[in-house]
Amino acid sequence: MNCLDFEKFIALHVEGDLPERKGRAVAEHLKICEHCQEFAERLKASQGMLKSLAEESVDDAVLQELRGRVLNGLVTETERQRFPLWRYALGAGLAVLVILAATTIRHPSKDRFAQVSRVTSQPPATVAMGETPALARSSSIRVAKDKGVAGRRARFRGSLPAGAKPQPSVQLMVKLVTDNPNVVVYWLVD
Amino acid sequence: MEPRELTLRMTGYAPDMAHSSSKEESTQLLRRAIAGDRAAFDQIILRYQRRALMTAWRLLGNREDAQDAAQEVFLRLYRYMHRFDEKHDLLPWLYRMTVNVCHDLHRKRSLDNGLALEEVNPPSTDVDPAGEITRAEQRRIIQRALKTLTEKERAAVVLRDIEGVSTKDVAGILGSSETTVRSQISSARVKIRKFVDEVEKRHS
Repeated sequence: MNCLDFEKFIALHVEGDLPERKGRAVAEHLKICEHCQEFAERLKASQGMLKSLAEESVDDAVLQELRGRVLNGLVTETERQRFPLWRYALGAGLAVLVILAATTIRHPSKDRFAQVSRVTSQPPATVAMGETPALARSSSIRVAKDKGVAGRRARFRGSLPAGAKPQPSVQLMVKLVTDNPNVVVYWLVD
Repeated sequence: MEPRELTLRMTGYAPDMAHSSSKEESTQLLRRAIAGDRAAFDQIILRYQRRALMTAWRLLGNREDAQDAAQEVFLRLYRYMHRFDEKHDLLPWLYRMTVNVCHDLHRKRSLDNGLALEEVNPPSTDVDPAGEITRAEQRRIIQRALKTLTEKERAAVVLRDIEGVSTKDVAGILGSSETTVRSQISSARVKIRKFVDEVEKRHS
């Protein structure tokens, strides 16, 4: 090991920061090496300068100012702990959702209007009482041929006797007019 | 809620029990502060503000930044004091916070990490009649020498040589091994010595 290698150990040795065994080795080297002795002395001097920084004082005014700043900061910090940011974010999010929901209910989307208007754009012709509407005419009335399921079905549908000629049924159309001129509800009743 | 940048846990750190009474007092104050006693926290500020401020000043090399850093240290202490492990001493915890805050501030403000020797004015005004550099000028030179160190070297040497913390405790504060810290301290001392040599050479 040359003197350059010893430098880093001497830097620790002068402050007693080396483990005992290494410290003894450095001490032995210093006894025989003038160059390293001189380096150790210079290191002790610069260490003295470095340690003298610990003696520096701070003005009480500076410390008072610091204390005041910290105490003021604690007020904000306490508020922040009481009402953390995530609570504000959650509240704002909920408020936005409520506003959006309210707006949607008050003003339904135009698509739904369009759909309704398409349905009601060609309302069926008004049918006079007693006249069979087109829908009713197109439907056929089944005749029960025998008893059983078909018979029960026949009873359910009006229970025509076998061989009887089916009479055209009378249907009633109810027209429900709303405030909205685009919305007219037709209801066919047998 | 876990803050990212904060690595305040004192894992693996076991300080010496040299100042047990002081430690007990600090722990009592901290307990009261956690319970909501603002006066107790004020006592903690009074007790440690000088150390926090001076350490930050050594690490940042600027008194205004040091004040900002020290303020942030106490605010972080207030924010996280409920996490403090009473088995440990408060002072190393504060040192660790100070080092972390200074690191954050240093990065944020992109301070000049290295000051070239050419930028250092030779000491001319503070020379006494005997031709020796005055104590005040010596301190200024050392402050400049500290700026030539890496951030880790500076933290290690400030804690060890100026604050007088043991190598073992410095390792605990910085979260490094004792061997690493010893190497950083050794390197820092040699660099400071060489910086002083250069300045003295110019002066002569």
